[in-house]
Amino acid sequence: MSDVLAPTNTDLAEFRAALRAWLDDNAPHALRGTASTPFQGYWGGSTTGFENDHQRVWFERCLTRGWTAPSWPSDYGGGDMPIEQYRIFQEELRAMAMPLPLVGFGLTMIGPILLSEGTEAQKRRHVSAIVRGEVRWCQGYSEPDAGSDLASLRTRAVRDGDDWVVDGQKIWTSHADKSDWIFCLVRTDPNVKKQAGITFLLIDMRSEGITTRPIELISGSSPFCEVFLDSVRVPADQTVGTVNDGWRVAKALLRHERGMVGESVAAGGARVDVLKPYTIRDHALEAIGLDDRGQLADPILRDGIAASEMEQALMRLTVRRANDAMKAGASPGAESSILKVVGTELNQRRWRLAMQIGGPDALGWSGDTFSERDRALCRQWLRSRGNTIEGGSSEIQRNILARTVLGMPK
Amino acid sequence: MTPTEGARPLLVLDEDQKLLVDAARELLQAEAPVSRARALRDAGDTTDAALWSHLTDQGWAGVLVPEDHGGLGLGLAEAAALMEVVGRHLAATPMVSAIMVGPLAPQLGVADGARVSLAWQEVARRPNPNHVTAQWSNGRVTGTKVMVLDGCHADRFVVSARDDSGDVVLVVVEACDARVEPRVRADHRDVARVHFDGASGERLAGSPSDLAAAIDRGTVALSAELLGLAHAMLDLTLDYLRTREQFGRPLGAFQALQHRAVDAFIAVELARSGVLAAAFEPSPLHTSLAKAQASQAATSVADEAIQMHGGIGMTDEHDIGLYYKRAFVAATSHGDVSWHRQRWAGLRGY
Repeated sequence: MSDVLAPTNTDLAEFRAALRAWLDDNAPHALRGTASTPFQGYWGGSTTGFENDHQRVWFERCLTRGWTAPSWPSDYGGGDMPIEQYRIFQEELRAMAMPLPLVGFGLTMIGPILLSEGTEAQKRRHVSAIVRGEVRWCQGYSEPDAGSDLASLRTRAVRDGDDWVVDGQKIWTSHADKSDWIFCLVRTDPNVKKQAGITFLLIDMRSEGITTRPIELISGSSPFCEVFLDSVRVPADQTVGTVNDGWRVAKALLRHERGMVGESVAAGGARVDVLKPYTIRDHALEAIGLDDRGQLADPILRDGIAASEMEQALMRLTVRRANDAMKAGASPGAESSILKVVGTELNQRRWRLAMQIGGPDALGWSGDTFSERDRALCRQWLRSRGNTIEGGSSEIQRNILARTVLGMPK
Repeated sequence: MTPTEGARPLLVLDEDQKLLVDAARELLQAEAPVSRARALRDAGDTTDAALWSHLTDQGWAGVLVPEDHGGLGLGLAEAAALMEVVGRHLAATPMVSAIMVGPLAPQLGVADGARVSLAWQEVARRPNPNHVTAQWSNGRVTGTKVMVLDGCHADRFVVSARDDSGDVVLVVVEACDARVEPRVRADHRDVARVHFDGASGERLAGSPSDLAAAIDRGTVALSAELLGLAHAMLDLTLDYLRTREQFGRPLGAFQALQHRAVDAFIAVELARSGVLAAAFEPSPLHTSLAKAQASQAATSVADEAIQMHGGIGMTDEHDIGLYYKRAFVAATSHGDVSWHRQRWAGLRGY
């Protein structure tokens, strides 16, 4: 059995069958059918624990096989899975709607970057800690005066002996208040072209001089924080890549982020309620009902719902097409570049439609006279306005697509 | 609606399919450049008979005809790939009809190169296969069909009609026994209104589901053609944006135009996803998805193409206009965006 599940097994059908059997034995029943987004699950780190025992058991069972980071090298605690096996692993978890054993920005963002750019010491220290769920990471990119124009960032790092001394402020840092470490872009040379004077640093959030403050959004809450850095000392060996080469590292990382946002929208599907599989269509059938021809009683909403479902289907097919191209051995084509902008914009349109279907009651904010679903819907609709801003605004995405994919001149 | 992951085909052309596309491109570049579409238009020809005989020689006219009946016996994936090339080159051929009737060849017993059109629609705005009032009684067909694609150049019609017990049947009628009324539309091609005034016809073995499947194949073929048209217009427009200068800069350096170009590109990429799904995993839902998005993409890219070309885009001299007109004609054939959205809603039970 263990041989069949080994990374060296090239018989993929056999691997899939054995994996299914393993999952059937090891995936806690309480977690099956519960995953709806790739961000749902155990985030790791020292500040928040497991939500329940099922989550802990699932994490530990995967960890012993290196499957909290299945495709990473076993030298750092990963599972060594070749890409073909890893796809099957993802497919099988998705088929069971099992949450990943571990989620978070360590796994999806900084880990891959450290594996390709980090020093041996950095990999030993940080990558292994991510795999074991010991350290939760956050991303320190945006600043109050550096949003879309990220390269104009002003948080400054000055060398003092073996340390950097960092001063400045970061904003829109997701989960900064729950994170153990932050990866940061800092200005190390103010006298060159703005992209050329940036360095990529890893900073311990427990360092003296760091404070965080949560940001409340129009939806009433959010994972976002401000991070203030006041003469924070960072050992120089926590520099990723070379000094003043941080912009290149950051761009490599942003590509991970954009792919992730698009895929999450595609995976999220047409669900408008995280509590159970509940679609725009279900919502409309319940709120509006069918006429005597068997058609939704509001013809304009009927058309809008069909348009929304079709848009969603096209988005999913585009994600599948991008994945299939890779399976067929091609590099991801132009289709993968549109996922972020399409995914976020269709998500907004979908929430707007859900609000239209819900009517006045869908605007319920608090109190028991509104259903829990209506209150959640209202907040998620408001939250969705941010989708086209975070992770590179739709306008920035279009600038990038125009230049890099369509070859438009500067 | 969501089949399991393991059973799904990859939404990518395989090596054989790529070779087919390359060969088709090569032939159409040689035999059917866009200048030829213009020359045919100027000569008043509504179809490219010479190109059709090339396509017949290559076997592509019989892409869906089973091998033991002289065809290539390929699938809708290959047929759609060919139609995309047809769209890119603005080629006027009866390929859509050939794709609709190809799998019926064993029942039809047609000779190589024979042109058969499906006469099924009765109300132009209502492409519903079940809306059939034509009668088939005592071996004779009576009724009028509209929007008959390639009907002015057909040797034979396959007609949907109701028999004496009210069931829908397919009947074969020789073109010489029907009265064909050509209607030339804005794309400089014709579509037929066909009157059957007691025309003698032979019943074709098959069922109403054969009719629905044939119509959906035509819908996928048109979607693939629209994808080709959209892609060609996008390429022409992007080239223009890169090279045309105003205010001392290329047009493509203006952000207002860059963002609109990206939206056109997105529409085309989404249409490609829909067409691939409909061709590789045919189903009524995928078919409507493909037709709605390909129609939407082609017509919106067409509008943007003229606007971004400016005045030259409005002239007859420029090719954009030829693409523009074909895009709108194809977009309204076999159901427009609105019709396919309604069909989707009906299939999804609301």
